[in-house]
Amino acid sequence: MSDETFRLLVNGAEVTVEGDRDTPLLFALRNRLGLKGTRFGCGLGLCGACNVLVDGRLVHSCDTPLWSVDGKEVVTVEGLGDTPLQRAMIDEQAAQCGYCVSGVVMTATALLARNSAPDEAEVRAALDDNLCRCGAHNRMVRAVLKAAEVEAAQMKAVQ
Amino acid sequence: MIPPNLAANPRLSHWVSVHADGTIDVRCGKVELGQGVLTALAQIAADELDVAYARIHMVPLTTDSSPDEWVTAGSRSIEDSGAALRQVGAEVRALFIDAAASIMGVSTDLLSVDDGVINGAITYWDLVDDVDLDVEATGSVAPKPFSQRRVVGTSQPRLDIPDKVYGRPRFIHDVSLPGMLYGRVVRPPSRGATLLSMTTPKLDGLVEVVREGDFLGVIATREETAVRAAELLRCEWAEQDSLPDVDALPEFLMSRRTEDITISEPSTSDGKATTVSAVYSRPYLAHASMAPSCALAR
Repeated sequence: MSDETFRLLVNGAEVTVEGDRDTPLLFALRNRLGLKGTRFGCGLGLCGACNVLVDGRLVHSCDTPLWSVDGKEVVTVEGLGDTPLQRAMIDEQAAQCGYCVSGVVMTATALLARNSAPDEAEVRAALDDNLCRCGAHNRMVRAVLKAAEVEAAQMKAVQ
Repeated sequence: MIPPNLAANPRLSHWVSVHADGTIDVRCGKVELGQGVLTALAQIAADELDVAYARIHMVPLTTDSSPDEWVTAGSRSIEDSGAALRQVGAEVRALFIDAAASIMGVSTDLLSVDDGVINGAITYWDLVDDVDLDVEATGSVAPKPFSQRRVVGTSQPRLDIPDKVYGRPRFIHDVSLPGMLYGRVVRPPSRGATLLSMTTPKLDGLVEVVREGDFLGVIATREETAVRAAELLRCEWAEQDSLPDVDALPEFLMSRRTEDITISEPSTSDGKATTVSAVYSRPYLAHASMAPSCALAR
């Protein structure tokens, strides 16, 4: 293991990270860049707690090596600002312990980006890979559907 | 009456601070795990203090400044911490009323509080320099009767959810200290396995391999190095049967030391009763969370 330098665009800011090329993006985000919102769940790409966007595509940051994101754009939960989805998550009180929530927010953000009016089945399918042990899933589904409605109404108001 | 958690942490100032800007800090010794205790305790405090719910700020728990309420477990937070905060709130409210009565030259019986404003004339925030909360609870003030509670019983949004939705640090995993090292536990292949030998890998940044009997862990300067070291550690384990027969778990549980409780004594039979006999059991249940277990040591 020897350090190399990687350049990334993280939440709109150019950053450099020194590390072994196989270092998971998750540890770079959390421990080098101080972005603690992305969370370590299983470390195996199975639970979704570490989901982020790389060039707009949803990835598990725990099994995404640094070399594969060199020169790419990464968006974490901290980079979203304050979206209708996040407000809908609060409105629906869509969390218990909340450890999975950052990953859920990123998955749902990716869903709404590619499908602005998902039906309930599509939301459930999209969130299927985000594990929640507390049982807050139904609230999350309601929140995503509500966010889609809010965004549609905002689009209409603009037009 | 003084509830046990208040008896153990008797100074009112340990639980509540009233500020001149009209906000109130409330401290408890229970951890918010997503069960909503901070929100519920804030509701209890607001009711007893007779202030708007929005004035209450639940102070993040720290070992140094929070009351010692032992563990957060067993669905006991509202029962234990809630009882203590209810009494604290009642006593703090009484101290402010006493101070107002003495300034206004009237009997305390004539005074009432609405959102920290006493008889529309004088506020808690006016009196912060006149009321010393660094005193012990007396147990001589009764909390409000159930019928006078306004905030308890209403549905308030959870205080901890915005941080979680916006990805703000909220978990012990998120704490970062200067020079912090990272660790991983190396698990045995099965329960009760004995560690016979191990070979430590040579890895830059691996600080220490910790062994205590059959417990094994690694410490490294970086988290990825700790993960790598745990993978590369070559261990020889002796495994043994250590689990009970999966088809006879009720019998296994009953063969352990048990705590027996009689729910009710059978009433005397009038000859018409039918006796029904049944045995019920439930398996051992493990409570598993999404967050991996995590501890921080300094």
